Amino acid sequence: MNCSKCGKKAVCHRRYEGTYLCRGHFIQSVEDKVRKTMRKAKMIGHGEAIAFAVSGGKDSTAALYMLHKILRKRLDVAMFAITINEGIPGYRDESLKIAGKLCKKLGIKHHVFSFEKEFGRPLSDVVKDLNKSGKWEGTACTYCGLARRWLLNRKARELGAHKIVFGMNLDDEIQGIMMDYIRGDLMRLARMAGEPLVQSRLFVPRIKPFREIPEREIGLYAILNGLEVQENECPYIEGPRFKVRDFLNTLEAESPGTKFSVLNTFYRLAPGIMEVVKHDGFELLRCEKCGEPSSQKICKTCELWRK
Amino acid sequence: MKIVAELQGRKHMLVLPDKAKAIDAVQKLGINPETVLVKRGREIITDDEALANGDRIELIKVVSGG
Repeated sequence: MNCSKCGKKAVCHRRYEGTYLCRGHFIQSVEDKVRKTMRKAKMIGHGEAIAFAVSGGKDSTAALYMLHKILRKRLDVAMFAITINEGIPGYRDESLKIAGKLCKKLGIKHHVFSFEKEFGRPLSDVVKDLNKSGKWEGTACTYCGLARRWLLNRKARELGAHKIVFGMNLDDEIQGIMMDYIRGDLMRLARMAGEPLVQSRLFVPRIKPFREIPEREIGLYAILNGLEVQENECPYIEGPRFKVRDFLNTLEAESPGTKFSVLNTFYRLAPGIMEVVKHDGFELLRCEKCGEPSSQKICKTCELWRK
Repeated sequence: MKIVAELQGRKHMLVLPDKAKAIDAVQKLGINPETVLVKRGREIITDDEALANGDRIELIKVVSGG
């Protein structure tokens, strides 16, 4: 098949919009869409310091590569990268190297922080202990995700970041939206709408420039740009999110455009969800143990990691 | 037609009807086409690209899990 724009050999068939794109037009199209998403949401302001959360996977690697390409001429914007080493033997070691290599190539300062140093033990030890005791409160992803977000926010703030860039793509976004609907978690849904519920200097706002790009296209973008990415999966992944992922991929294959439809419907509902949450009331406290912002006296991260 | 499809280091010999497309090979392996890219030689091909007898393709997983 040939590119709908220039007739060259196509590398991408966007079934959701009925177009074929060659390598050049595909890369240009993805970058244009990301620029538009960033402009529309005013993601990066004048003189801001931007922290990239880089795991070494395709999404965060592509985000660092693309945004560096887009922002490198903006001398008012400072960029650095943060990688969290959760302590997952045979998994995180490889991705740490990949993230480090890309940062070096792009001339971006790379900071690495570990669960072991910050919380006293790696994730692998937590999983081992919980497997023995059986006293799980969620899955390994619950423990890991909470601690990772906590650490990223604290370190980005300490390093002076105004924003943290996450590589979450369209698929990640809609999986999160569906999960929040299923759990009835309006608070999280409201947070996904993009506007912070409460302003606090303790929160470094997260930005997601890839939120309107399908995961498959991020994978293609990474390959076409020769980016080295980690391919193996985390050994601890589990939980309902992956069932939701498979369900949405099945629907998309049968009915192209489903993923965008889920996201666009959410965007339309978001102001209403925000109103409901504000009406219900929300108080931002500071965790009595760590001092980080929390909706409870003791934040969930301390509850799980600092017993 | 007969083709060879490689996925995560494992090679699969597939028998497909004449005029089969890349997506047919993917589905024959029970994989959702949303989760992989298809490479023939050094080129990425679209899911509706026609295959030929003797083709060797590689399926690259692009859906993350962690």
